[in-house]
Amino acid sequence: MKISEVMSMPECHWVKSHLTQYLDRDPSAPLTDAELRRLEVHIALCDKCAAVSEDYRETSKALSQLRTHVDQESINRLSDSLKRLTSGE
Amino acid sequence: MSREEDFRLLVEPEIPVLLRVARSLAGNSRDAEDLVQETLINAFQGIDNFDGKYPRAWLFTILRNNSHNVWRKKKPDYVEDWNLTQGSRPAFNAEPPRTPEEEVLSGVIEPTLLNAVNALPEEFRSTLILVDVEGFSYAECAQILGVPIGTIMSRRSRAVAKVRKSLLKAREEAVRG
Ligand SMILES: [Zn+2]
Repeated sequence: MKISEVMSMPECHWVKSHLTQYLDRDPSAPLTDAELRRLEVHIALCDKCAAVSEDYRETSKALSQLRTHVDQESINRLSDSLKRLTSGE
Repeated sequence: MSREEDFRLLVEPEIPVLLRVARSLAGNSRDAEDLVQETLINAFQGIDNFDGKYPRAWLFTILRNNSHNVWRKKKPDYVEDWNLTQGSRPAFNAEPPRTPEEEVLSGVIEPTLLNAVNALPEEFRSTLILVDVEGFSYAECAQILGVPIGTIMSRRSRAVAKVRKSLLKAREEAVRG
């Protein structure tokens, strides 16, 4: 790929549309080696996409910190009601 | 062992994961418990339709259908829900204590983040919560919502982009004062 192609607008668009997939590395949606290289080369050269990538990473991290545990009392109440349900009460 | 007892042993370990999914779909913990309660009842009544293979997948399907039927019209309120749970915050207690600067920063970012998540269209929001907040894989999320993995990927990509925009805007406003 020529540098003019790497830095083109359509390339930025392609990179942005694959960013979450790239950052997640989810096994059920793997990128090909060629796609991985294409993303890494572009992000290394394009400040804009590098910034977006960093924002996505931060957003994702902030969201993961919102996680709260499920309430044990809630679990207990549902377990009890399951017991009643299956004992025909 | 009785059929009823088999059912109970099969379903009981799934209650915590059902509650997490229900919270993602219903938008708050109170409705989540009701939703799981209904799911357990419907599962028990429909046990003859269960092939015995993947109890979790089967329960997810029932949960999803219930959430469509009953909860669709309700407006979710993550802001309220997370504020209610702030007191205990077990997820945060597990982390190292924050510096005062971090406390201030999180005070600014968290409400903005919650508002941004709340403002998302329903499908985007549930996908984002399931993957990013609750940590489900794309495949699990696809199974829970009953859509292809590609749909999960595109919804999530757009949801993250929207949330990022909201955060950037809030940051700009904070800088401007
Ligand atoms: Zn770019």
